[in-house]
Amino acid sequence: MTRYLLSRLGQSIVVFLIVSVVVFFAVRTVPQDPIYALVGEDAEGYTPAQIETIREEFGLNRPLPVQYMSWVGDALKGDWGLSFQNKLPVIDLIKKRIPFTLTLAVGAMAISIVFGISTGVIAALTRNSKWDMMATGSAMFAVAVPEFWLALMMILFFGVTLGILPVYGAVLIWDDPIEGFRLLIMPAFALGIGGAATLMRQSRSSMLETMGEDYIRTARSKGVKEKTVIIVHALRNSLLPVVTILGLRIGRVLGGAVVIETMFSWPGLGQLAVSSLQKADYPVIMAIVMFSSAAVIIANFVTDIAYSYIDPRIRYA
Amino acid sequence: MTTQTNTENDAAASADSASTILEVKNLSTQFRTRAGLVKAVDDVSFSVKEREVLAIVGESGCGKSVTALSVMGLIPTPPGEIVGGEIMFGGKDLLQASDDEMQEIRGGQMGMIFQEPMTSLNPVMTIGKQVAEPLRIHLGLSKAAARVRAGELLSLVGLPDPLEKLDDYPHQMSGGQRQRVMIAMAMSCEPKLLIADEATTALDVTVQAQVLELLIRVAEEFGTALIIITHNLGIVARYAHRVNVMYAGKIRESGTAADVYKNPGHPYTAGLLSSVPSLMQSTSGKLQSIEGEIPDLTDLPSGCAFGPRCPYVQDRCRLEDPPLENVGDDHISACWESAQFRGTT
Amino acid sequence: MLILSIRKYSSQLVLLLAGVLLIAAISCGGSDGDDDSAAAATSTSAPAATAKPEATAKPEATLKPGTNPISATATAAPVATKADVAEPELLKRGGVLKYGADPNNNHVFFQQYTPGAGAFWAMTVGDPLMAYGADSEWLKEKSMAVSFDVSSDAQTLTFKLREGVKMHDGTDYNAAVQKFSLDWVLDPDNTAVTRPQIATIDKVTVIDEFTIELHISRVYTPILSALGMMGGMPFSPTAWEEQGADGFKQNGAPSNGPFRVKEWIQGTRTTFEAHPDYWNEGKPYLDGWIWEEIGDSQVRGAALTTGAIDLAQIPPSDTDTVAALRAGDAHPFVNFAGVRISHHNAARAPFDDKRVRIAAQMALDRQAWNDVLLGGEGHTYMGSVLPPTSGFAFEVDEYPYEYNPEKARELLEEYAAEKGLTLPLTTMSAFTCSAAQAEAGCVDLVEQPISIVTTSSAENVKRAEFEAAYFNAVGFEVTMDLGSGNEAPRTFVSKDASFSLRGFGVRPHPSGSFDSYMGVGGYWNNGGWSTAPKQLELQAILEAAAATYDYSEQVQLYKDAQELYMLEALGGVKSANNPTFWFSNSNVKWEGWPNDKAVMFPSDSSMKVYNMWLDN
Repeated sequence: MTRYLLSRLGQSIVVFLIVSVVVFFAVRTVPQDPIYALVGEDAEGYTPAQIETIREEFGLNRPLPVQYMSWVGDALKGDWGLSFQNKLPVIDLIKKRIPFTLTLAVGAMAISIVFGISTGVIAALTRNSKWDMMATGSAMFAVAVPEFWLALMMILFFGVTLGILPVYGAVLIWDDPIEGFRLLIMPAFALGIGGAATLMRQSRSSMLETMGEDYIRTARSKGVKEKTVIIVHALRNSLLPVVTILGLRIGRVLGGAVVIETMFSWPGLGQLAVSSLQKADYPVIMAIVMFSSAAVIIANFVTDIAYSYIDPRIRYA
Repeated sequence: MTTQTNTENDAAASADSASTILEVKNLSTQFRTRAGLVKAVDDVSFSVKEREVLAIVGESGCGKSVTALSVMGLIPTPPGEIVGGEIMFGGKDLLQASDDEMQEIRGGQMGMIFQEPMTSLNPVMTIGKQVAEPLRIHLGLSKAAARVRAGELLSLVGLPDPLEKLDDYPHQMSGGQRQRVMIAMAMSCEPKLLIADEATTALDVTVQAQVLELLIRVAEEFGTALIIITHNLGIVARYAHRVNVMYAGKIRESGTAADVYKNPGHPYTAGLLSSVPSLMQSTSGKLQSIEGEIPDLTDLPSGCAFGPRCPYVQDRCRLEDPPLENVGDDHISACWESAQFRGTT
Repeated sequence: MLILSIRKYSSQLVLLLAGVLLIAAISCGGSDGDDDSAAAATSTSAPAATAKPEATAKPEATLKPGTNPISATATAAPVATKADVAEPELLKRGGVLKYGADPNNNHVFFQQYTPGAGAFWAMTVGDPLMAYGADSEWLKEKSMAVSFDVSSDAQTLTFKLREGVKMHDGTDYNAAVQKFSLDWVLDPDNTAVTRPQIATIDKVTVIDEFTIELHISRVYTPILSALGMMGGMPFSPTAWEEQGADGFKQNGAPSNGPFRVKEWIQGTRTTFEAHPDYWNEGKPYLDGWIWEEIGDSQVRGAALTTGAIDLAQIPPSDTDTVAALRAGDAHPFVNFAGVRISHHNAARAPFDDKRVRIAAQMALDRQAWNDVLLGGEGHTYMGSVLPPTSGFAFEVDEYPYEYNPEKARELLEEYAAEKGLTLPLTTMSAFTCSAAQAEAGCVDLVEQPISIVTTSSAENVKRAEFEAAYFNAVGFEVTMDLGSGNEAPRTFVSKDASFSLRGFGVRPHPSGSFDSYMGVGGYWNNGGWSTAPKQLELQAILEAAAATYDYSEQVQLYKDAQELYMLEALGGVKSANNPTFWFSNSNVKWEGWPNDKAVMFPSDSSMKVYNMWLDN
């Protein structure tokens, strides 16, 4: 296990490095100059010399490789730099955002899991019935529909037409559980429904396969009740591929959060990423990307560990 | 006219024996497939008496497993469907029983062991839990009591370190061990009837014998009647009291094991006997296989289904399906030419 | 667990999921959901002007920033207190108004606020040294100066300050506080974005506790209006000592206005609470107000409809939301703030020739521009530029450069024949910078293609492509240089831009605007954009206008400048005035409702939230 952990750690470091290099250079191709984002499009009242001074202050006058090495060096020391926009420490900006994005991600994953797995299992158990058709059809719709569109439609329907849910904003669940939950419903649904559809299809096929397994017949031959057969014997066995999908969803959810957070004015990392990109706030973008990469890497790792809990045949040496 | 039951024969034969616990009458099970309707079991009747060991033999696809699953109520529906007959067990027609009643019978009064030891155990559940499950369901044992009993059962089926095995997962065991676990599980509630469906087929030849011995021993100990489903007549000869030979969904021959073995009443049985390696036979003798292939169940030949492969086939065989008829004392066979055929062997 | 009752409830569960999706699909109101709010934000973020070009109200001749003859003295009447003025009948006090806008409050220190983001809220937290209304009237309820004198050389301004004003942190406002803030802004090291507004001030002197003297480096009358913007707002020196810029960015700088920053949550909201010791008794009416940051304009529209917010800013590009809100019972504010100009460079051939400049003007169909790009909500350009106050407006009965592609082509053909060229015109001539220009960052250039430079925002790209088609139709051949628009300020200094598409805001004082639009030494790093003879002539007029305190002379000079600018087709091709939309709930009221002007600031088109109340 230790060896496995070490090798995973090594892989993660390589992934981190690659991500950081790619993103570091990619953000600099964004057609927005951070200096002009700061001083205004017209740099009204600034002399070229002043502009250059700010450029030096941000360290943007140095060659790119030098900038990169300097960034890596600082980041390794835990110094993520200052935001170009307000010269506040990036780490503080990120810290304030993380609880919101985590709340949204957990909410979205919960929607994905609850809707996805339950409808998937139902569809498998009622295979080829009208319920199966409806669930499968809905899943296809949910996969195909763009998240922002769904978000907008929900806002219009539940927020404006019915007026039962707030149309924007966020409160942390632990600050105000009721309002926090009400505010979470729509963004979590919009972000999670795509995952629910994916999970639904995966759990359906997985469940169908599992229900045809010999050990299911064995369980039935022992007189196990059908409900128990499904929950105790079939579900856990059919979860493995579902868990894989779930692990992969973390990245999708963080990516989707960019759109959903912007739509719902959800002050998470995704929204910060958008505004930072618009302002070419490189240090903030880098920190968000690195955090997200870490989240995805950790999620994949947790998924691997979860395998061995779900399936005792998998052991990491 | 081709359907003639053999119940009288059985009844006559078993008049002095123990009472009948399972009586299958005119069982027909069909499957709807893309290729068409498959009559997997077609008008099959037989019975099992208390403590009796019945072997059902035949090649793959002859309907023996479907017969067993029909008895257990485990035919996957759809595509399968039991379209007729009766399965009398414990004074009740199982085909009329509710799901709840069937669940009580399965695992409690009637157990089953399957062919594939590698896949028949739940890979993500400990052996202990799997063995304990029927104990908890049917005997209402507590978790702890069920675990203790599960340990005893594992010991009974000859597993080394049974208590440690309780916490093992199936993948940590060999095929033979797993089949022992299956036996422990199926026998845990001391059922009246145990069906072993090709229970030893996938095992090493040496292990096969051990497991069969174990099965017989435990069945005797618990007073359990046994249906052994196999395509290996050789193995069965030693343990079975009676043998049903099935071909293309029907019983073609039925009799005591000794009779059938010594004096088969059907060319198909004879073919099976000469094509199977047996522990009791010298392996130096040349094995013979039955020519041809089993017929397509969606498109059976007219007349005797075995006709196309039968070395003794006559014109009549191609036109009319022979009924089961007495060919000896408590020995029936479905062959127009059985007299001629038996004369030549 | 859900799964426990799968068999029983399977049908209902699937039905529920399908139902939700189906309902969502049905409730689709024909919106394409296109999210271009980011692009819209960029385009509308320029500081905006106020008066519509057709506004004709004649300003009063007193107390205007530029009206005073040399050595003038101006005095503001003592500010009316609550007791003196009857309150509007239906006035209600209390409540918190919510304003929904794009997320751009990256911090809450107004002196370092990024220009273009539009510190809408700044005017609600600070009362500047001077203040001016929509018609250049002295806004007494905002001004810290109660009177001022101008010295005989017009370079020393002495202000008498209001007494009894408390800062947000409880300290007293006085001349020392005002000096500290002005000095802080003027120190280049502090990179205050407000510095350019007041950079002509070279010395600030405290005369006594409530008298302050400013010396300006040259005669520059717009300084008065400039002091009415954020640069003229004071902040507490005590608080500065304690918190510094970083603290101010997060907590807001304690100033002297009707509201103060209560809480700033980046990306979410900024909450303002009423200043308990506000000097102008009776104000504000609200307990506070909240700047709600809602990134998507359609969501803002939805939030306004549900009453979640009271006031919303909607970009004109979001025509669906604008139309929906117009159809509802929200109260619209339409402000034709920025003018859209495709600048061309009169310093370089072919744009050094008047015929080519006119051809470019005539090439563009402004009505089509307005219809296609602004959904008809804009205002096709008529005057020379959009003056910030109506008194300076230069109007023509008939715009001389209406869309006329045939005439445009004729002019270009004439030019080409004369120069021995063949159409289309594809390149700009070489350019050698003057010494002064070189100083300002200008680089000598070789011949290069005529190009349209703009940012990569979807809206700007759409504009560029739209205009390029018109230019090309009459005999230009422009290349597209998309994405380097942010470099345009520098490329204009270096004179290498051809057409640069930009949006323009307008300054509170006309001279500021005219400097920007027309002057050599105005916008863009004092590099100006042209040393063409006519441009220099124009510059002389502008300088004369900025140097006089004679109001009527100043007005005439600015009108002359505009006329010359227009007749010579200098500056660039104007298209249409970009409207900015706000919508308020019907429960938002103010004195003089529904007259928008009464609550709109001329300097940055922000709302006078301190004059609003909630009627519910």
